[in-house]
This record gives sequence, structure tokens and C-alpha cells, in this order.
Amino acid sequence: MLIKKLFPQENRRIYLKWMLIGLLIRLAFMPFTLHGDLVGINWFAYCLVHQGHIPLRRMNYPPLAYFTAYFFQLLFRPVMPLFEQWSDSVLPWFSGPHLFRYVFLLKSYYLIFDLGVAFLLPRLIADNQRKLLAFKLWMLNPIVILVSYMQGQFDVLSTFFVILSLYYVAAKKFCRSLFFLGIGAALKQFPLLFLIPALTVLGRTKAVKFKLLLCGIVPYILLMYPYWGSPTFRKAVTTVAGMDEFVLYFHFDLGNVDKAYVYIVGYTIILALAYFHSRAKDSKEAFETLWRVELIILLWLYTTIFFLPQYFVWVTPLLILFSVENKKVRTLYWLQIICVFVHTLHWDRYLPDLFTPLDPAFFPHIPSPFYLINRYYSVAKFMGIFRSVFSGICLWMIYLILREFFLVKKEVLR
Amino acid sequence: MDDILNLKRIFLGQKRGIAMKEKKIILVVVTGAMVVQLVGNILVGVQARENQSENLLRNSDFEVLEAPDKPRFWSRGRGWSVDTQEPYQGKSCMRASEAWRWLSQEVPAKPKKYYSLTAYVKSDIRVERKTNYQNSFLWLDYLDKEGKVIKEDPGLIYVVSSWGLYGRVILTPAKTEKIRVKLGKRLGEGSIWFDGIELRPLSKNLLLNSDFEILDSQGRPVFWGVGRGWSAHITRPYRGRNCMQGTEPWQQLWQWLPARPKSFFVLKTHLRSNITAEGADNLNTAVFLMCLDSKGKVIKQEERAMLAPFSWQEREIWVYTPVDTTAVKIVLLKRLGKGSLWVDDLQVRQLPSYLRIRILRAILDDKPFFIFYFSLYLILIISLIRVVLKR
Repeated sequence: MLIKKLFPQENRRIYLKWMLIGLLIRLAFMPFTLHGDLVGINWFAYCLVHQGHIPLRRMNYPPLAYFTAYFFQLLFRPVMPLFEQWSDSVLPWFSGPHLFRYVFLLKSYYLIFDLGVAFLLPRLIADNQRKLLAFKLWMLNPIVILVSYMQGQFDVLSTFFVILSLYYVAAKKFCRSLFFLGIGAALKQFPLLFLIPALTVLGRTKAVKFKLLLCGIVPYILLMYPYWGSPTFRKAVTTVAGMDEFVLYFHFDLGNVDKAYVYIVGYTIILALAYFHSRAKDSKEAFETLWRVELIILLWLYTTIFFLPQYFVWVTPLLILFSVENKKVRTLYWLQIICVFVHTLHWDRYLPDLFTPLDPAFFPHIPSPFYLINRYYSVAKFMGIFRSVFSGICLWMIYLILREFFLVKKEVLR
Repeated sequence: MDDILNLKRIFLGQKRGIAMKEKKIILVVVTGAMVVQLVGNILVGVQARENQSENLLRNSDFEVLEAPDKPRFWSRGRGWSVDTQEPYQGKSCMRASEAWRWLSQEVPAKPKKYYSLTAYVKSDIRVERKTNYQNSFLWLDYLDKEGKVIKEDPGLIYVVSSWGLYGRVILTPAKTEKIRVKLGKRLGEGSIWFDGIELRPLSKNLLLNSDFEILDSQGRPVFWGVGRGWSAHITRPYRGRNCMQGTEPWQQLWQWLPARPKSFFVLKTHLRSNITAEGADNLNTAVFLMCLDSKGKVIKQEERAMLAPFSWQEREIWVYTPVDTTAVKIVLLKRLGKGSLWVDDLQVRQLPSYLRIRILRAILDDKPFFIFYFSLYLILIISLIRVVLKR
């Protein structure tokens, strides 16, 4: 019954096949790879709940992220009784007992949200073949697997709520949509970038816009408020854990202290675009407009800022929605994934060190891809070239989406 | 529609009750295996700790005499006599009044194996603790199958006036077939008394007095080297009556082990602390495994800085000894912060070299999880195969 409910009737067995393949790949990495990010979020979740605070400079995420991690720690407590005595540093984890069991359990709940995205994506698409393709692309996406099940980052949680919010847009439940967008932002703050476009596209009148704003912002504020007194937390929120540095880095000096931040300029243009295309006839059209605007916002973000591999998870479902429409875009999608893998060279030993739990004596000493490439060619230039290719693809995708917008506009005007 | 029904049958286990039956069997087998493993682990763990291997020396407390002053199974030289005045245990002990005269026994042994040799000894010899002060021997000769001595191990000890436990861990050379245990007085005016001599094979734990239960007359743990600030502590030990408390940073608690090159050792220790971290570095404890060559020079060192938590927790460190290694030194110390570090129940094991691969060791250490994990994986693979093969 569950399978019947979860999968579209058409190609049910093929869905099942790809789900099992995706699960097998995920499970293969879950217990055996460890990154400091998983250690940090779980240890500080424990600190926040038990000590009421997180050590200075270590609060990188909104409280809901830590509460979620702690909730699952509580759930798994009977099978990981010693967790509370572990540390915020990754090194002691290697010498702790039952490392693989703990790492597996601490990542296991990502599967719920990950599969949630996988099941929601086909529901956002009309065509059966494209539904299946979207499902496949998500289940086999290497970045989602790398970030969630190897690095242990929880971006897939926020991404799930963004997609859930889009699902409710398509289902014409706008208030619920904004609510889940707020929940997503309470986990990682990037969904806030979609708040104004959502209000613009979904709210026909000022009153509706205000109501939707309340739906989105109230859960976010309620979840933040108890911690607002802490300066560490305030700083983490206002700087988006230092992400503001990335966003504002690329700028033009306009003389004196006057500056134009490139991302902000582009973001404003995108908002204007959303504003001028906000006359959606129905929820379907609103959904079609909104996910495209959200996609442009993120593509523009990656084009203009230094980003971390986990940021790419945010855009992945939207890219999938876009790439199932066009085979050529799919090629660009895979090229982007390759570029993101090259981008991980920034962290030198990022990839080999993930496998350190398997053998702490071996993996930290194998030559990293960074080192190997650097023997033959400047790795900085190498990364730069792929970065440029990546930015080029993002810009081309933005162009394609804008062209679609203007074509639709022209047809409407005719 | 048929397809859907078939699928439903497969995954809901309704295909003539067979799929359901299979699932039940898998479930029962997996659960059974996990329970058995869990219980097995607990029992094996208890056994590993409780079982002490057999003492290879016969009549080790000299209670059975075959002639006056001649304990059964022992060969004795001149100057040895049975003393019933103040034995350490039982009714009699052996007294040596002449230097370099032996009381010996040969026992069969295996090459390249670890043994512990311990004895309760006391003396009335007054020697100043200068360069050449060791007044007694716990001598060992390693013999090959022809009875030739392959290696001599004098085992000099300095014995004081009250009964105390002395001894060491030994590693038999290649081709060893027998060990000859030789007890004797070495120098000085007076006598040496021996009692409760034990030579036991070691396998589960190569450390002596690993739970700090045996203390000397000054309250220090026997067989351990202790730096300033280390003392035996009786409050909340991990097991037994004692644990060790360290209060001073960078002061060592250590023990030596003989070791062979290209051997793999794993140390497990239980730690707790009440140390409050100052600053970002909260790793309050360090554990070292140092590989030493025949000159005592450190040729390799594995170091783990770790966080000893508020309640007891096990920590692990391992080393693969390089060529030229003759000994491994196990060192524990408090690194930083205000407060104490407590240590208890250490275990050093020599494992086969292939267990250097962490994952293999992890599978052995956490069988219930890996049974669950591999079962889950297997079930998913079987499901995938069934989906792929099903028309």
C-alpha cells in the first residue's frame, strides 16, 4: 500500500528499482565516512540542549538545526549510549568505540528528507517520463550523496522544506507553502532568499501578501526568539554564519566608500523580474514562475560568490526540474556536477579524509587529488578553469530561463 | 494492473505466503543472530576479563617437598632452604642465602609468545640504591628443542624488606621450546625469600596489573611507572577497587612491553575526568604508544590527544611497530586544564597484522551493528534483484 501511495502508478517497478539503487549507494557510504561538520552539528546540538549555549564562534546554524539533531540523538540513545561523552573535535571520534554505528545513525534521518524530495519531485511534474527522470536524477545525484551521506551536512533538510513549499504552491495552499519555507529557513537560512519572490508571486493583494509574510516569518521568528539574547547567536544569524562575507566579497568600488555588490545587484534584478511576472493566472502558473525565479536566484548566487559544496544541494531539485525539460540542459547539469567535484579541491584533502574512519593510518596519508593535479599543473588555475566553466553554465541557464519568461510574456501580450 | 498486484505481492510479502514466510525467516535469523552475538559478546567479554591463564610452573608456592629443603619439581643449588617462618602464602617459602645459586624449573613454552613472570619476593639485604644495587634475579633461559640456551634474560630486581610483587612481561624468542625459570640472590649480605612464582601465557591482555588493583607498600601500582601527581584512587573506579588519578599536566603513567618488529598492538583504556577546558583546546588527555629500539631510542610514536569525559568511556589507540622495534612503551598523561584525569582497566592486545585495517577490527568490535547493517544491505540487494528480474 505504501509503495502504491508513494510512487506514481506508471512505471512503479522502475521507480522502485531506482530507489533501491539510490538507497544502496547511500547506505554504502553512510557508516564509513566522517567529516568534522557531522561531528560539529551533533556535538553542539548536545551542548545547546544540555548547557543552553554553544561555545563562542561555534554556532553556525539556527537553533532548529541543533534541536533536530538532538531529537534524533534522543531517539537513538538506547543504541548509542555513550554519545554524550564524545567531543566537538573529529579526532577523538576515530578512537571512540562503535564509531561506524554512531556515524550511521547520525546520518540516518537525512534519508527521510532525502526520500521526501525524491517523492515530491515527480509530483511537481506533469509528464510521466519526466517524473521518472527527475526521480532518477535525484536518487543518483552524486553531490547529494557526497554532502549528506559522506560529509554529513544536513542541507537536504532545508532543501526538502523548499520543495515541500513549492509542492504546496502547486496545490494552491500558499500559506502552508510559506510556513514550510519558514521552517526551511529555520534550519539553514538560504530559503529566506525566496521569501520576497514568493510573496510577490503568490500574494495578489497587500493583505494576502501580509498574511503570507506572517505564515513564513512567524515560525522562523518563534524558533529564533529564545536565543536572540545570545550575542554569538545574533552574530550567526545576521552574518548567516559568515556567508555574508562570501556574498558581499564580489563588488565594485564606486568611489569614496561607495560600493556595488554584484550579487545584490543581480538579486534585485531577479526580484524586479518576479515582480513584473507576478500576474500568475493560477497556482500552476505561480508554481512554474516561482521555481524558475528560485532557480535563477541560486544560479546567480553560485556565479558570484565563493560557495561550499553543500550549497549545491539547495539548487539540485530545481536544476532537476529544469533539466528534465531539455536533454541539452541535462548535459549542462552533469557538467555542473563535475565542476562542483573539482571545486572541492579547494579543501585539499576533503575527499580522501572523508574515508579516514575506514583506516586512520592509511587514508590521511594517501596523496590527495589536489596534490596529484598540482604535480602536473597549477591546481589554482585548474580549479579556476572549472570554476569559470561552472559560472558560464550557470549564466547560460539563467539566460535560458529568462528567455522562457520573455517568450511567455510575449505570447501573453499577443 | 497485474504488474501492480505482483509488485504488491512481492513487497508486501503476499505471494502465496512464500515471500512473507521468507521475510519472517530473514527477520528471525537476523534477530536471533544479533541476540546471540550480543549475549556472546557480553559473555566473551566477561570471560576475557575473568579467565586467567594457567600457571605453567608446578609447585609454585613450594608447599610440596620431596626432601628436606627440596621442593618438588624444582632444582636447587647450594644455599637454598625452605622457610616456614613468614611465607607470603601457604605454609612455606624458599630462602636463598648464597649469591648466584639457583632454584630453577623448566617448563614447555611456545616461540614468539607473550608470558608474564611474577613472584613475591622479600629480602633482608641492605644495599644502597646506587649503580649496582639489584640484589636478586628473576632469571629466564630460553631453550630450543635440543635444550640449548638461545637467550638469557637476567631479570635483575631490587628487593626490599617486605613482601612485594615483582615481575615482567616476556616475549619468547623464535625457536623457543622451553623456558628455564631461575631464582637467585645476586649480591649483598643477607637472604632473599621467594614465594608464589607464576609464569603464565598472556593473550587477552599484555599489561600487568592493568586495573591497578595491586599496590606496593607506598600505595603505587605495581609494574607501572608513575610521574608526579599520579596516585591510586578508590572512588568510582571503572572496575575493581582502584583506578589511577592524575592531577598534574604532562606527568606520565607508563608501562613497557617487549615487542617484535612489524607487530600490531591495540591499546584500550577507560578514562574519565573532571577537567574544565580553558580555551578552544579541550583535549585533556594524551595517550602514546612509543616504539623503542634496543638502545631505548623512540623510533615511532603514535599519539592521540583525546577528551576524557565526565563518566567512564573507552578509548582506543594502536601502533604497527617498525623494523628494529624491541619494546613498546605505553604512556598516559593529563594534557591540560584544571582537574583530574582518572584511568582504569587498560588492555593491550597484539592482533594479526591484517587487523590494522580499521574496518575489519570495527566489524569484530561491533558485531550487532554490522550484522544489522549487512542484513539491511543484503535485503535491499535481494529486493533489487527481484525487482529487476521480475517481468
